[in-house]
Amino acid sequence: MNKAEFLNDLKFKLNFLSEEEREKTLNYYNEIIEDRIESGMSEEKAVSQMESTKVISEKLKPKENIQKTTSEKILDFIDTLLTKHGYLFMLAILIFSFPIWSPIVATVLTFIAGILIFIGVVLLFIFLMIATGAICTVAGLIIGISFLTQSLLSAIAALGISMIFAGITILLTIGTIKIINGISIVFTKISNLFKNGYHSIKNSIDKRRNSK
Amino acid sequence: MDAQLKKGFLEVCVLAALRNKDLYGYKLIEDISKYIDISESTLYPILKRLENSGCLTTYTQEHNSRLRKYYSITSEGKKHIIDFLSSKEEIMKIYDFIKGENEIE
Repeated sequence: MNKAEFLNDLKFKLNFLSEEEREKTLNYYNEIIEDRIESGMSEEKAVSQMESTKVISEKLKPKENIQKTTSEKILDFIDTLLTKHGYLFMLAILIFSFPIWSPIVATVLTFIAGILIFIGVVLLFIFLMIATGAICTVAGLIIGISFLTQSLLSAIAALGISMIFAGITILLTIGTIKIINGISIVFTKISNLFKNGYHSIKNSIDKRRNSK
Repeated sequence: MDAQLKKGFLEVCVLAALRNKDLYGYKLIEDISKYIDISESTLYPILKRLENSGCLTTYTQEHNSRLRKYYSITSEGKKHIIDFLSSKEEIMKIYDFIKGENEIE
């Protein structure tokens, strides 16, 4: 085995260390091998006289449960359960905690459904108003144009009413678009909140794993 | 020597080796090996522990176009050596007790 192979193997076996610690350790062993070669050994011999990468990594592994606080022990326990039994364990927790989370989930879902239905009804109402406004505008226009040859005054009145409806419809449409935009922004913010929360939790778990 | 006993001695041995001049990893092993058996993987955690407890500091220096990490003793580390030396009587008392001579009545 040459130096590069040895260090590569060691790097792989030290995966429980943080990036920084691993780099430090590899530098240390690299330096020792270099110094051995410098003192007259061949690269092959310098590496072969080193302890095995297995022994080295074993010695650097943290001793379990020594000088650890209770909360760290609990976190470690959860960690090993999750890494060893993973999804099976999660499933068991989900099943056994059903009486606890089911009412909470039901409440939250009901709440969300309520909000969605409310928004839906309001939007439906506004759309109906816009549709009515549009129909009245068109009707006013048709009536106004058809009266044009018979009675100019009636025609102007009808066209005027049509314009009023047109104005109201346009205002309603603009307002609705703004409301929909607002709602979508709120939902994006809520979903970002969840995403950020998830990422920060994931990062802290990763950090904990690496620091061990 | 018993592994548990050796562990305690090695820390002071490392500090003693650094007492007069800064050394790099390979030289440290070479120097200490004359007195007590030590391997790279034993030395590494000791150096880490001593650095964390403020007994030594490190710096890197270029040597033959590569970097060498040097270890340097601090005043805290020197104090550690003195503390160890001053416990000689205590150690001897325990030694004698184990040997079975001069038992305290």
